[in-house]
Amino acid sequence: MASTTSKRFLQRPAWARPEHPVFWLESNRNGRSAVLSLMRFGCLPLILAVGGLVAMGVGTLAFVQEAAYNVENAFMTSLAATVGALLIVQVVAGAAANILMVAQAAPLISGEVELQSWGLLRTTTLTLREIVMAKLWAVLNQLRGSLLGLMALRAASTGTALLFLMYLLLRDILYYMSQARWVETLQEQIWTPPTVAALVFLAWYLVQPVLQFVLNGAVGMAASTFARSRGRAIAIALATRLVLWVSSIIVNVGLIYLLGFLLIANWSQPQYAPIEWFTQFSQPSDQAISFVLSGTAILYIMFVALLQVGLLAAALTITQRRARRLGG
Amino acid sequence: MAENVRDASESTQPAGLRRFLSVGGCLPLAVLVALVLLAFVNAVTYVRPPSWIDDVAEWRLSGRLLVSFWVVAGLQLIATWILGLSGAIAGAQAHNETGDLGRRLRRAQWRLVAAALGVLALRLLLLIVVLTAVGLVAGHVFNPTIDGWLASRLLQLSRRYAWLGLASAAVIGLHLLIGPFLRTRYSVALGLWAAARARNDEERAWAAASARLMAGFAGVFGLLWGGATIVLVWASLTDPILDWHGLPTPYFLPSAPDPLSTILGVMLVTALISGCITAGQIVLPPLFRALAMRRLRAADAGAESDV
Repeated sequence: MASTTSKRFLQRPAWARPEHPVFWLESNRNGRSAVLSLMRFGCLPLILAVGGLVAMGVGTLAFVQEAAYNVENAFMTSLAATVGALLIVQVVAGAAANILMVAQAAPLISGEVELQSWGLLRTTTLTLREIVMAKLWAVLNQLRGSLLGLMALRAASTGTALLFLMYLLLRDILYYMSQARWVETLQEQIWTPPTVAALVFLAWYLVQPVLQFVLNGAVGMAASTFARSRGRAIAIALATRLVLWVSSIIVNVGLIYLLGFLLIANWSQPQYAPIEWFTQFSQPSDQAISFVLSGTAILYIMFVALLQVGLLAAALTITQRRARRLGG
Repeated sequence: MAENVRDASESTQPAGLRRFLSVGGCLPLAVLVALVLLAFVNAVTYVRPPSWIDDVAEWRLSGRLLVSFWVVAGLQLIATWILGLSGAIAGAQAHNETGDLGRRLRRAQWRLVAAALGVLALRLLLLIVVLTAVGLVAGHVFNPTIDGWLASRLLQLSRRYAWLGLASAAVIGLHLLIGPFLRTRYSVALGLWAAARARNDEERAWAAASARLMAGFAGVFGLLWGGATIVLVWASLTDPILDWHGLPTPYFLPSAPDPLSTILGVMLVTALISGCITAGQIVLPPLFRALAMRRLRAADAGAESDV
């Protein structure tokens, strides 16, 4: 009994299996279109090609400029340059993958409505939830190449950045610290909270491609329920994604600036605080600053992650509610 | 089953001359493109010397040699990259053909011989540029304009550690010369394996290209991370953190002065990396082929049981 329960838990849900009728229909809907083949299968090789060539080119150029003088500095420069280049490639590739996902998800329901097959689909024994999830899963599966490419870029940039950080710590920051300062730092545990914050950020950073991928699919599907034609649905979906992107930038930049202003410029340096109210407090210790700033960073990252998951859940809920009311 | 079917595709191949031209076109094209680029670059660079240059002829010659090195090095890198990708796609095409698997793979590799020769030609051109520069520097033509310091250290190295230097140069040289052919063999096998894992015919070529590019991607970061880690460990051992009364500082070679040990270290590490890449390119193709065969047999068994 216990093994059956655990097996059932590990099995895919019905809507995620290849033999599910809606999943099968969506996966084979467009036949052998060359453009669709390119979109489905070309993303991964394109991302890997561009990422690999950029990394090799930038890394080599940065390396040889310093290699004749100092091999250590040459590797540091090469690592830093590679991280910068990969971040730019990730932004561009991520934006393209986002647009592709949204555009592919938008016609999922609006297309059925336009072809007047949505009503027929709803008369089957499949639940609405199963239909929605199977359609979403099909489009996620079709564009899995772009997700794999983005994950590869993310892993590469993370590894390179961590190695660069090791260089910075061992050959620059910690290199010039006296033994007494070493002992003091370790005993006061100043580095523990920032390390935990960095790990939380790293986990969030690594999960982002998957989260964004599914979120874009959900946003596309939600937009699909607001239109009765594919073209209109794509327009609404892309506009919605753009609004979400711009507003997230504004909110995040605003919050980070506000928190930085309050905590770093005011609370941690009360004698120089621009806000007079903070000047009444005494200078906090290095430990207190480390704990408060790191704790704030951790809470902020968790808030952003929860917001993203909440948006995803909201998009799926909106999709199901509006799809229930759709006729035709 | 797949190995024992008679090869029906041999009768449908194009005529001899056209085939020879399509196969043999890459080699002269690569050389032609390289020579044209070199001529162009040498014509437009280092034309007007700055006012502080005393010996214009040396400035021009050293500058153009350096630029030529970068042009040919870049060209051969791009050509090598294209060769790998073409090999993988050829491996996917070999999967779709019928007949003996070994014969299909050999045919796929044979189709790319001219491309591999093109890459080899570019590498030989690169070697000519490097040897020309080394010969001119060793003959004391240049001032410190073109790394006279490096050249004199290389000469010192060749006197003191001749066998190590020669061995490293031999390994690196071997990898440069036979690398294109090994790369073709490796890429075709990898492409075949990736194509065997694909779900349908539509995906096979893409899967092969993705696998090859993923291997290249992993290789680039393997080199960067591996090299950076080795240097970080070495630097931490030979130049430990200040005031940290830890381990004694070992030198790479007890009697070697620092610049020489650095150059020797770089040469040995490069030779080690070249050796590892060459070994991987020799060892991995049979493994990929065996994995692909296993997959093909399982697919055939599945098809038979359906019938």
